Parts: sequence; structure tokens; C-alpha cells
Amino acid sequence: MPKHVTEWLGAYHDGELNSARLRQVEGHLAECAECQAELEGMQGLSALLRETAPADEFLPTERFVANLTLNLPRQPEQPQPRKMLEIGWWLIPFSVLGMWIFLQITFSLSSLALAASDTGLLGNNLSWLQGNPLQTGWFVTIMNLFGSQIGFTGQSILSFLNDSDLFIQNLTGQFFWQALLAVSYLGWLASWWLRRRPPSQNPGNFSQS
Amino acid sequence: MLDIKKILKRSWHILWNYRTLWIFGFILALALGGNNLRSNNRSSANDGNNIGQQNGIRLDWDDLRGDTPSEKLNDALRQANEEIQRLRAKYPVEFKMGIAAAITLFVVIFIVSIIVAILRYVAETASIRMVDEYEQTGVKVGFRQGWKYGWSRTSWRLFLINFIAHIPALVLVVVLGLTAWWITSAVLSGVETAIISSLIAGIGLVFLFIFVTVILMVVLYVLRDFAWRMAVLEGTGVMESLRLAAALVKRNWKNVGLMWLVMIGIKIVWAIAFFILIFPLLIVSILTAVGGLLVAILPSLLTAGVASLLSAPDYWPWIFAAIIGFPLFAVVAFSPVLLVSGWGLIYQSSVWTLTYRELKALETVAPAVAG
Repeated sequence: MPKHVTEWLGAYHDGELNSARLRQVEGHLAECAECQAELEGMQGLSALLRETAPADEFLPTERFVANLTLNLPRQPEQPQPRKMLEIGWWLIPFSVLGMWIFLQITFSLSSLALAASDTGLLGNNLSWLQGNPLQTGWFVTIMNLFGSQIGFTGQSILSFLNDSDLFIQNLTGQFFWQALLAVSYLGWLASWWLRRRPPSQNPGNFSQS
Repeated sequence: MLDIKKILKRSWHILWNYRTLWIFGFILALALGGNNLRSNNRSSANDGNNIGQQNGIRLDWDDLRGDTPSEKLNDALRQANEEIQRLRAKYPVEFKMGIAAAITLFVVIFIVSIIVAILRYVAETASIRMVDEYEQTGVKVGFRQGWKYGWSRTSWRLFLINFIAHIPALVLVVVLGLTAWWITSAVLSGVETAIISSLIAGIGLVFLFIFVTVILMVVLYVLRDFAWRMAVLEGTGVMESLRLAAALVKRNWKNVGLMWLVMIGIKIVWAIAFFILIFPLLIVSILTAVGGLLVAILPSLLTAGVASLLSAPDYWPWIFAAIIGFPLFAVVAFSPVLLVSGWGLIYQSSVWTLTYRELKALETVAPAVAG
């Protein structure tokens, strides 16, 4: 029995063999039932493939990935009001800091302008801006009622107390706003800290923990 | 995502376990005026305003000769000049000595400022490298090795980076100067409408400029902190560090922003704690003041001796002695305040160094996508 021609059967089936090889394969097929069966198998598979609808075109990787992504379960989109709330939440600390900067500049510039006005450098041009009383209510009342009866020392002491009161009032006013902003900021930070999710395991590079 | 809690805890651990860093923290506090974790807790210019106001410290503008503010100003200058000449004739020795003392004070302030500025950048460099090395190898180095880390060209780079970060502040100073000049010119012209309009527009302009500059400086300070770490840990140049830091912050703006917000909160808490701590610290400073006196006494006596040889009569040698001795006395006397301030500064520096390391580590695992 000559050697099987299995290796040439594919080319024979596709009609790609030249005359010498073709004659050799045909001669062998006429005698060998095994190779005939192999050829029939190939012909059957070929017919089956022809019957099946062919793919339109080769799918590029990007398209494949896009199709795959489309078929994956999707995360439900956040509703719009929730997103707005989220943005508003993150704007709080920046607004507080912005207000703090605003107040600092306002206090500094107003004190500078008043100092310039007090030294007379601006003449009377800023007198319409001055709302800062030079005397407290209690001082005016006492001086009106008992001013003539109080001696020089008493008046000096009262004047000093009046100055101190005004100074403390001014300082307290500024301190109040700063304290209010600081508490607001810390309140926001504390609530963020409490509601934040612990970060997933990441490549921490601390040598010791 | 950055693990902020881990970074804060780790920085706390480093602060209490790496005591050599305290020395560099002390130097940083000295250089930054012990200003409490670099928070803007300075008292407002308004604080002392009322006292002066009520005590009647006013320029007798109406008593000056002239019709316009310009003429009144000339009269004020003339009167001041006459007063100086009168004092010079009446107290010739005091006048000369006063000028000499003022020059000495200026020279001392100038020299001390330069020394302190150098020390600051050396300490910044050293603390960044020491924390990084401790994280990498777990090795704690001594003061001498830390000083070697700091005493390098990198410190100079840190200075340049800081200088570039402060350019907007310099521009602001120029704008403030120009606005002041504008308002002064209007006041001197004596035209009421010009004064009012220059005042309103000037204040508005200044307000806007300060506001924008402060916002810009906030961003630049963050960039500067990362650029410093780039320069120290990666050995990059000034512009390269700034460029890389900007890119790093841009890529990780959420993490950096969060850490910045947390650090602001920590600064507020620290400012409150420092305000409470300052009273016991000042009491301790009374004890350290004795040490300050001991340290300052020798240089002061030497200065007094030299000044008396240079024909400074009466009490003047002691004024010169005080000018030289006071900085030494102040450093030792207020060392408890500086030490506690230094803790805050070292903690802050460690937090940013660890943040930088963590961001780099995160990028190594998940490489950044350009743009």
C-alpha cells in the first residue's frame, strides 16, 4: 500500500494541485478507502460552512471592546439633583475660606483707611464713612449725668475704660466672625471625615505602620 | 485614592519618634518667626487702631500753613527738618549716637535675616530628605548627617522655587505702591472729586488684587511644596521641579485638594491649641530667660566694652550691647515657644513629604495617562 496522501487532500479539495501531484492523489484515492473517507469528511465540512451565513466583516478590537462594554451590567447613573448636592457639598469649604479671605482683606483695608482718616491725611473726605464711635454709650451717659462731679483722675480712669471697651468691642467683632468661620469649616471637615469611605488597599509605601 | 488617615498617623509617628527633626523644626520656627504652622494668625492692623484713635494721636493738619494739602505737606516737612536741626544743636552726642545705634540695629537685623534665611532652607531640605530616608530605609540619622543633607545646592534651589512662588506677592506690592501713590497724588492735589474717586477706585482695585493674589498664592504654595520635594528627592532643577510639580498636582488634583483641605482644618485646630498652649509656654519662657541672659551676657559685655572705647558716653554702650545681645537672649528665652512651633512645622512638612511619596507610588502602580 503506497503512502497516504492526507497532506495533499486540502489542496486537492480546493483545486490547487498541479498535474503531476493531481494524478498521484487521484490514483491513490481510487485505491485507498481511508483517504477517500478523509476527503468526504472535508467535503461535508465545506458544505456545512457554505450553508452557514458568513460574518459580514472582521470585527476590530475597539469595536469588540465597545460591544463587550455595552453588554456589561451598567452602574445606574446618579440623578441630577444628587450630583448638584455633591457639588454644593464640596463648595462649602471653599466658600468658607473665600469668606475668611474676604473678611481679612475688608478688616485690613478698612482699618488702613480709618487710620489714614484719623491722622487727617484725607481731610474730611472719609468722615461720611466713619461709623466707629469714639465713646461708648455708658461713658456718654455717665459723663452727662456726673461729668461735672467727677474729678480729673476719675475722668481719666473712665476714659481709659471707655478706650479699652471700644478696643475689646472691635477685637471681639473680628474674633466672632473668624471663630464662626473656623467652626463652620471644622464642622464640614468632621462630617466629611465621618462619611468618607475608607480607601481601597493601595500601594502604601510606608516602611513601618 | 490617597489614604489620608494613614498619612496623618504616620506623620504623627515620625514627629514623636524622630527627635533629630525637632532641631530642624526649631530652626524652621525661628526662621518663620514661630508663626504657628504658617497660619495667617497675625493680628489685624485694626487691633491697635482704636487705642491710638482715642488717645488723640492726630496730625495737626489744620495747624499747618498752606491752602492745599501739597502746601501743608511741604510745611510739615519743613517743620520736621527744623525740629531735627534743633535737636541736633541741643543734643549733639545723643543725635550722633542715635544715628549710630540705628545703623547698628539695621546691620544686625540684616545679618540676622540672612543667617536665618540660609538656616531655613537648610532645615527644609534636611527635614524632607530625613523623612524620605526614614520611610525608605527606616534609618534615623543624627543632626550632623541631617545638616549635611541640608547644606547643599538643593537648598539654593528651594530658595529659588520659593522666590518664584512669591512673584505674585511682589507684583501685589508694586500695585499697592502705585495705588498709594495715586491716592496720595490726589490728596496732594486737593481736588475733592479726585480724592473721592481715587479712594473708591483705589480701594476697589487693591481689594480685587489682594483677593486674586491670595487665591493664586494658595495654589502656588501647594505647587511650591511639591516642587521642593521634587528638587530634594529627585534632584531636579528649579524650573523642572515646578513643571513636574504642576503636572503631578494636575494629575492628582483630587487627592492633593483633599489633603490641602484636611491640612487647613489641622492648621485651625493647631492655631486654637497653640493659643491655649502659649500661656504655659510663656511661663516656661521665664525660666529659659535666665539661660538667655547667660548666653547673651558675654557678647553684650564685649559690645559694651568696644562701644565705650569708641567714645560712646553714658548709657550708650548698653544700648549697643542690647542691640547685639537681644537676638541671642530672645532665641534662648523663647525656645519653648519655638520648639512647639517647630513640631507643627515638622508635622506639616512630613505630611507633604509622605503625600508626595504616596502619589508617586500610586502612579507607579497605575501609570498616569498624559493629559
